[in-house]
Amino acid sequence: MLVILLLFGGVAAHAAWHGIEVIGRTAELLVIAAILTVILTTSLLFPEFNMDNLRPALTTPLPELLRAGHGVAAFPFAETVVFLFVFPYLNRKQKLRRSVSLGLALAALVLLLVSLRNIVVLGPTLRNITYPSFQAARQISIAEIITRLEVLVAINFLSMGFIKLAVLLYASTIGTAQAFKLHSYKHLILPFMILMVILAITGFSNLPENIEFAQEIWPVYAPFFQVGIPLLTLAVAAIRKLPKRGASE
Amino acid sequence: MMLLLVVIAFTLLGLLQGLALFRQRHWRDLAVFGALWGVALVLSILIALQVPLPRLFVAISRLVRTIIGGSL
Repeated sequence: MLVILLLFGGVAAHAAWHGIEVIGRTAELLVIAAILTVILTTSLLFPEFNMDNLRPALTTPLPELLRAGHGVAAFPFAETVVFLFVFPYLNRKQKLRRSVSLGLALAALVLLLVSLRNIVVLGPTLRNITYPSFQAARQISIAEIITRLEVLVAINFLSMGFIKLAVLLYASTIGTAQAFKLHSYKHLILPFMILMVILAITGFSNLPENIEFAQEIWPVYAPFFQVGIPLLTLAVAAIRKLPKRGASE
Repeated sequence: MMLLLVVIAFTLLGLLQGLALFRQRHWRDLAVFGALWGVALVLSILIALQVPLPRLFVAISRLVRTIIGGSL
């Protein structure tokens, strides 16, 4: 476990060391591969689709629906707040709004496709499965030749996890460097990576504890960081009338 | 054995990055790096010695449940 964490953290640290452009270019390749995997597994699962699993539709009580919506907002969509650390380093800032909107829309579309696929394939058993996409991909069996494609889903988990970890590592080090007005963020990467590995080792004692935290605590705890602190920063910037003319660059 | 590996790894990290910052006279960078390096070193030694560490997420869960009033 420790070796895997260190190797994974080491690769993410290497990407963060080379900066956001390297992370971005790696993401370009890996995200396309991930989307192609989703399309491929969904296509191969067509024979397993049971549309009855979608019924009864629109019967969820409003409070439960709002709670579920808030859960999806807190994880993963509001987590994109971390990109606020990246935006100042963009070359073509005029394309920012369009790129962010397009990225979020594409992510929502892919996640919707994955959720729908998992529901129509797995049905009510979905509630008891920790990794539904993985379980759904295990159902693929075309003439008993094309099987065991769940490995593609596992590769997706790892590659997207790598991108997330690299961006988080980059953002946390660059944020610390800015807060303390340091010359460079690079020498903070390895200590931060080691602290992340320590947190990963000591964080949860088992998987149910992790899932309970993600489902019950995270939607309450995370909005403070995802919405509260950015709004507070915006308010402080407005009060201090930032950015001052001529200092914005 | 684990403890030895931790000490060697952190000594190398400290020498390679700390000395470079010292030579460049980036004192503020050196202080922040030293603080993070120190925290990481202490925690790593405790893990290597198999000392049970307080779990951050359990503390956060307790805090959130206290604030929300256990309604979760």
